[in-house]
Amino acid sequence: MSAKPFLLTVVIAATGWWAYTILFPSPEKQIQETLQRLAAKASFSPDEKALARLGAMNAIPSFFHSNAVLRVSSQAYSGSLEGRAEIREAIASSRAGARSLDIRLTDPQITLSSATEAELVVTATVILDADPNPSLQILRMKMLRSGRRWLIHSVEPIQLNEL
Amino acid sequence: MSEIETSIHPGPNETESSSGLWKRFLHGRAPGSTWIRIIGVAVGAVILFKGILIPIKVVGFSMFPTYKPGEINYINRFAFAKRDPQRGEVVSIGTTGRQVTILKRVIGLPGDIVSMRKGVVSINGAPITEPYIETKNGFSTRTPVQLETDEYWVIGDNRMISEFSKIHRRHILGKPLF
Repeated sequence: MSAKPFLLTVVIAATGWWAYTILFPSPEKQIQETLQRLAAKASFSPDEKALARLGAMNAIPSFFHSNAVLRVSSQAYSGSLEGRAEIREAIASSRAGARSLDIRLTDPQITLSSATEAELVVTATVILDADPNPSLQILRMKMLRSGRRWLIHSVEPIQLNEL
Repeated sequence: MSEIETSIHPGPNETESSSGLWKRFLHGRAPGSTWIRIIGVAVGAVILFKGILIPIKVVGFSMFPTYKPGEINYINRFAFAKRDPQRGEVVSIGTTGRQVTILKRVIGLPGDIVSMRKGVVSINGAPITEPYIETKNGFSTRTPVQLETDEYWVIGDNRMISEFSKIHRRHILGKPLF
């Protein structure tokens, strides 16, 4: 086999594989993308427009299951939230009291319990009002598949030793 | 001979020779070995900076004054390959991955009983001297902490803001190079 047809075959195969992963992402990739979208929606800057703020406040609860339980312990909020309505209310109050928020969800370790259920741990970095000392928290989450989407069912902070 | 001279000193209208020079500039006289060198350097860099010396940027004042925000450092992944972390050593602690790691100082070793009152740490009941900290005010432990085998007690040098925690040996990724 000469070099050109071989290279062409490799390029076509790579392109096909890339297209396949784009069209049919793995559950792990879907979950990672969901987390990134959630972090982007939850973060806001001081110059955020009112329309964008309203859009984000309406969008964030849709990342959660209707029976979601969220245990949070951060500078912004400490306590337990149940259901989308409470989550939305907490988001609205935290946004009212802060000028900016930067949330990053990194290094998710995802374990698929079944085709519709996943458990994961992720490192959450929270920078409130451009504080030079970011707050770091490890979160344990449970996500459930609903149609083509993965929804967060539970979130709880854990200690490093619990990993 | 004249051909060689032409290719080394091309005239303004000699486009083929210019293109030859350009190619030589890109991958030298022997493209094959140049590409092998490039790939070798790239693979070497990936192995070095992903597996041996992980580059980090310090964020926050938790380790102030030893490490300041914005400083660049490298985590030596093999620092504790043949020995265990010692009291007073700064270590890098992994979280759920390596994208975010935490720099803390090892204070309590396996088997120690650690307590802290307003930033002053006591090991097995005796206060220890810590020349690397500037302020002794800070958090206090409610009760003394007994460390099990493979457990370490770590805290940042800035006792005003750094929280202490108990970690397992497996969470220690390595040691900062500087």
